[in-house]
Amino acid sequence: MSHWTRSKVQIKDLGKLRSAAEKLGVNVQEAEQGKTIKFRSSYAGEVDAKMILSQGGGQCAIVETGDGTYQTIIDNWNNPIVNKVGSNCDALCRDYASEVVRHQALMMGGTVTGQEVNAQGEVQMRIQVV
Amino acid sequence: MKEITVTIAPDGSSVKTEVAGVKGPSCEDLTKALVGALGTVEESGKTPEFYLQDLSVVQNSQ
Repeated sequence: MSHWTRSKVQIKDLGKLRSAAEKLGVNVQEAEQGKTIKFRSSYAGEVDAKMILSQGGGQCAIVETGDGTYQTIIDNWNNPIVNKVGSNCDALCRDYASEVVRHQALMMGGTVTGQEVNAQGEVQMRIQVV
Repeated sequence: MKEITVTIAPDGSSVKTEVAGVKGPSCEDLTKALVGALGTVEESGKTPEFYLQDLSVVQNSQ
């Protein structure tokens, strides 16, 4: 190993987030360009969402933060969508990061040669670049 | 063959990338776009392999 980096994941690409959400089996409603969808959360109140995810009568929202990134809004209590996207949207965020890695691997001419979940619940992906 | 290992935290909040098989600063160039697409760098480090090319340049110039 010659170099390592630890990064904080930020949701920057709604397309990749949509892809991750659909693979988890949730329905995606995306706001039209330049518009938002009203979403009510018990702790965040009414927010302007760019995307609403729904499944089994439960919902969560994706809102723009103002710096070009997005954050998830979810009420964990008694919310069926937690079974798909995880508490605090953990599973969704993890799969979003995986989508971004796969896309970037292709962009750099590489191949994802392996992906597995280790005992700590971390997703490990190996990329080979010629 | 260059290899990048990416480890995504269980809650998706952070990612660690490790590069192997690349000597010198091009190592950082390889993952620059990947790291930028994922988010913001909080911490990074270099191993002795990173400096191998620099050492050979010094040896050649003497």
